[in-house]
Amino acid sequence: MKNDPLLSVCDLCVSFETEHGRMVAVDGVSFDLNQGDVLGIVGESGCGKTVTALSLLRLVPSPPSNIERGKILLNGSDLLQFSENEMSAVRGNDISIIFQEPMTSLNPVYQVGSQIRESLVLHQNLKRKEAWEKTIDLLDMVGISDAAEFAQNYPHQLSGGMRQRVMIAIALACNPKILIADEPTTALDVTIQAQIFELLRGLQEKLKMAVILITHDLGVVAEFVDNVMVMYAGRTIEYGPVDVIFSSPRHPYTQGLLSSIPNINRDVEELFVIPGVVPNANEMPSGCSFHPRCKYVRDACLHQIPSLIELSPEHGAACILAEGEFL
Amino acid sequence: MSAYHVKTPLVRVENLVKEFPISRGVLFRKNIGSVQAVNGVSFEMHDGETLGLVGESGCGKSTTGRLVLRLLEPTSGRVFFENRDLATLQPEVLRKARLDFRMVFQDPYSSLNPRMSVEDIIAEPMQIAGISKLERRARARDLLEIVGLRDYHATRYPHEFSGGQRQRIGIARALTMNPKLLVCDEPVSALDVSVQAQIINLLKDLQKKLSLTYLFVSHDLSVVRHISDRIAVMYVGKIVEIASKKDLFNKRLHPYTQALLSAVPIPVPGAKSTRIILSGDIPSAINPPSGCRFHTRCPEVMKKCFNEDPVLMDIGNEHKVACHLITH
Repeated sequence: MKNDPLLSVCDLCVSFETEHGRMVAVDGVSFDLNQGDVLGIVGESGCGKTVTALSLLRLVPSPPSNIERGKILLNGSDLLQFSENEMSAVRGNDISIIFQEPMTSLNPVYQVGSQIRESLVLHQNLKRKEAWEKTIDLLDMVGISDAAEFAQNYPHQLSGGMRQRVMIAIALACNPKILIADEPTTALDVTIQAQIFELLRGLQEKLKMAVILITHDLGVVAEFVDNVMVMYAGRTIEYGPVDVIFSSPRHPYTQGLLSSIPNINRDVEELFVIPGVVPNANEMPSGCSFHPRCKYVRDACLHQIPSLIELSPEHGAACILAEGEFL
Repeated sequence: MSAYHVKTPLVRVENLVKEFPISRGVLFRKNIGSVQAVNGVSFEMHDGETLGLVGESGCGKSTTGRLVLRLLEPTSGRVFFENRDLATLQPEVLRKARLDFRMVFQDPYSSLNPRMSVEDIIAEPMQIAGISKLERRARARDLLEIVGLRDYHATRYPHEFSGGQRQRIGIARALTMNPKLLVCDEPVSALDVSVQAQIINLLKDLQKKLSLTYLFVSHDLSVVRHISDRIAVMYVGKIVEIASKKDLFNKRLHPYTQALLSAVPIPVPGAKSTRIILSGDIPSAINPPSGCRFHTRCPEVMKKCFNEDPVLMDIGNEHKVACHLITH
């Protein structure tokens, strides 16, 4: 029998009140995450991937946002029923998050060491001295040499890669079971990105953490994650193990996305193009939200929101043609 | 290849240097040093080709692009456009010459004036050239067609467009006066993947139709590989390797080129990656390392690299490398 997953998200639906009315940012997203799993959430800007991640920690400000329905079960207990105090205990201890731009996440007027210590003092009730020792250990763990001296730096004195290492150290300070990484390397150069992923992979294996990686970079997904969830306009449109998603994607959007990226190892004359643009949240098309851009569009797509069809126990796609032969 | 030697290049850049002063103080500002953004860059560009300029942040690739257009005055060095030294041109002549080379910017949100209609944005260069209003309108609508927009878009304002459409407007504006050279500074990096492919295809298409020459500045190596004929790799203000696309990807001689190319994640699960992880950070251009600027991170550093700066040497077939390993 299968164990209960570490984290189980069921039918999560998040909306925002805006001046144009209610906008649904995340619409019925479900997924499971087991210990040690690496899940990639992929999609273009505005597809709801970041809102999904922030909702797991209840970090989307309400109002204007509203988690309308759904469950977020961490070890069986629903985070959405937790009080604000209980939630604070979850953040950092059970689930941690690192963000895209480390400079805006660090406090510019404190030394980085004391920012790491702060989270240890707050969450683990350590004495200042103990916490400081742990801080040095953590900096060591994220690959910083000369940690004691490094801890005296202010964020502006560090490079982007170093700041992201500090953020990772803060996130890992309390041994979380789940690390959410929201575009952790988008602001970094490619050689630095390689360093950070090397570090994250090593730590993930060592600490047996589950990681949710949010990214738009399919290269990163292919190399780093086990399972993929592709989002489009607030919905999950396809999920599955990474090799299945890349070798036999069954949703036209996933197929298009995969063939529209130029490959560094191969020359092609012309890139495949998905026509049109990602729809705005306030002018969502009827039926399948991808239908205006889909080359296989049928009449039914205009009226009916396709549900996820299970193609195999691990693979599913939300397209009425997913089981058919449209390739 | 040999045809290159016969024809005069469209652009020739010789030993370009650009230093930006760093100043401190409010009342008595004084210079306390300088950033060497570009340090001795030379290359040629031929009619109809695309030269990709790649490197990481702060390597001087964008500055080089601006120097070529003379949007920045070089500290020293020269830029020849069709054999004319741009630095010696009188302001009036330079303004005329500038019609031949235009720029496409990175951020389609900040590079279009929000108070001007699309038509006015595209037609502005013609207004300066003194072309009649009627002609300007017709040309603006033609250009919209060329970049894949509709003529009813002409009277709209930038905020009504998506990022990809705005980049199309930026490209249309650059094409207004039938330029020969476009400097594209990270033209797709602000766009989503699915839209990025649309713009890259458009640029390739336009190049064929209008026989344009591109200087394509980007940090995204997959995109550069897709669009370029030749590629120059920059590191802290210098070109470390320049070659045809084929040679650069197949031979990759400079250790930095090797590390940079290997660092790009490949969108194939389970692909064997022979990744070279560089230690350390990109050095600051305020005080770059002595000798070879890459020696602080180079996996194959030698004694010589600490104090001797390698020169960019032609190793045949227009492939140039600046590394002691290759040229000792």
